[in-house]
Amino acid sequence: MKELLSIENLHLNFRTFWGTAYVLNGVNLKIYENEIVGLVGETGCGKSVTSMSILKLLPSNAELSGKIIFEGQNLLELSEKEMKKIRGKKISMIFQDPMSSLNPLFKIKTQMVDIIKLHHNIHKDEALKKAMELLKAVNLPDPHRILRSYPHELSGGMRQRIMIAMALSFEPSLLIADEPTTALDVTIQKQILDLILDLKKEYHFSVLLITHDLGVVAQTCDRVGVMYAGNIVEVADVNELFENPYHPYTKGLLLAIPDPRYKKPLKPLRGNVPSLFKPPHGCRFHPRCELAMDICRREKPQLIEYSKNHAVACHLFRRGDKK
Amino acid sequence: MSIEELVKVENLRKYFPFKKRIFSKKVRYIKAVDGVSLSIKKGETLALVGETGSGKTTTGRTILRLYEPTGGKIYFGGQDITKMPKKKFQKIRMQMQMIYQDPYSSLNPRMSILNIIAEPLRELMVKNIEDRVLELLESVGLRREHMYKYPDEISGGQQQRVAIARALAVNPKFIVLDEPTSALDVSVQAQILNLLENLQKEKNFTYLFISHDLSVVRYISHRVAIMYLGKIMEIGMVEQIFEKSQHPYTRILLESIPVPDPKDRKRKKLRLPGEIPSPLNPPSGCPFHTRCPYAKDICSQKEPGYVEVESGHLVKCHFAEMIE
Repeated sequence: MKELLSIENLHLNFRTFWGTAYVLNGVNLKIYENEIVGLVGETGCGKSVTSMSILKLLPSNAELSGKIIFEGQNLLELSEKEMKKIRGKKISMIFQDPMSSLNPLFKIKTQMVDIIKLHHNIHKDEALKKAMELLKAVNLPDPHRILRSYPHELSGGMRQRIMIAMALSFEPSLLIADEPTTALDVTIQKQILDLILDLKKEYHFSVLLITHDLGVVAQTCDRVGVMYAGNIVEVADVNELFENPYHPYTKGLLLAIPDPRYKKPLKPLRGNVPSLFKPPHGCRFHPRCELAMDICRREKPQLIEYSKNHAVACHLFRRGDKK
Repeated sequence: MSIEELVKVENLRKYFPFKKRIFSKKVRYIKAVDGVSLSIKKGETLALVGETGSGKTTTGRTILRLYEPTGGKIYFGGQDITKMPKKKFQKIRMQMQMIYQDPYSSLNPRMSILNIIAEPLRELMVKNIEDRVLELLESVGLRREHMYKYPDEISGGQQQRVAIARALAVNPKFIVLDEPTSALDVSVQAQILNLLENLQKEKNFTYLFISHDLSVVRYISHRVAIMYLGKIMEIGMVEQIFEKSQHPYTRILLESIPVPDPKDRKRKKLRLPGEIPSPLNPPSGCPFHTRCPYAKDICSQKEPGYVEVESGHLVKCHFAEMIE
């Protein structure tokens, strides 16, 4: 498999009135061609901000360091003008709330045609034809009616389909989906996830799927990264992660979620997510970890490939150890 | 009605008037709750499940008479409370509480936790308010140090605990929980679910648990009712619904849940086409027929009644017991 995107030792701090928030603390993640990578974690673990860093859509008080290599070039070194050629064309993004990504004052037709016209440099009629094709590709019934509608006249599922259609109009090689189904009902969630899987087969793009729902990850992703307080603590193939999790945090998460197939006792993780203004020293998970040792308080564990296609950042797993 | 049943609802209806144009004389109705019958035993959790717009929250609020019902009967502890005068109802209302999805917006940001919980106690002329507040905080797993904090100084999970403590302050018997964990992270969700379960065991609370999350419902509830467009499509014990469901809608809903196990992917699943129709313009006959993969002619013509497929397991479908 060819490497498409590689995030290397990404650090991100926000300077604020209340002090510096240490949001990302050395994130490492690779995305290969034609695969779906899930990024899971709880609120505030830095998963959305990681995706925003890829597109460099961060506020001005952000301090970003490290490397994001995409198709051979480091995105962090590109100018704003060069980034514009990547955003929406090579890397597209869809968000949780499709209502706030669409302009409520314009019809879908105006919004889609404008964007297609601008980026493809084609005539209005051609752009309209392309818009129709895209709406058909995302299985929207009656595209004529949809194009005449305003965003508020459509349901959440339809709006998300339109966002996906617009994101795909330039055939990007990477689609970042930030909690694309969190605002939707389960039946519609299933439809949207199936649609992303179907489109991926057809258009051969990679997906970075950001979610807090381990069920969604299990059902859609090929590989998964688990994030905690600004670090990726574990990366593995989806089957491996659910069957044989290494990191105590991943194990804790899996024990805390209910299973729809049977009633099992739930074991909540103790404590709370730490403040990013004053993150714990060493391993950021150590105050909540039941297996924490002395070294965990002093030294940050590195993400190492402990077994094949399964990396973990935890002092319990040292390089060279045999299982 | 047996003494064991704390809450009983018969043919409950709640219609909201709706005008297409401000000055038009024609008034149409959104039938948010349209003929719901259910009962909840003491110490039992009944889950009300459905998609957005299915009327589950309206049902919960109408049972507490936060909305005045359009029709039907509501019984609480054997008494008919549907039309009970306000003064008399107030005493009963105290035994019913509601907990909401977003704990932050249900707590006054300008009041300390102490005052938030003490407010109902003052109304009840309780003595030694501070001791009682501490007792309540401890019963939901908080400590004395939280008493003088404000809602924005504590985490979402702790805010939900405060909301629960406030509901417990008046010694209720019946609590309506409206998506109490939807706004919380998974690790915190598990804490709150365990807390609710332990409180129920200790104090024999009766819960109406409104949720769209079937995994959570499987964990917390004893019985489950599946709602669609203001009507209950299937109701039964949690095992009956999750393992022996007879209604196509329930089946599809269950198959749509993302199971946290990648091995489950290989199972062939039904795909549910379309979206929930507008409650302003509900389909004729069975409300589900427009999306049902098994729909026949009769489904669009005649509304099915309830079939009792097993003791306590009711299904509203013409083809109950016939679906593979």
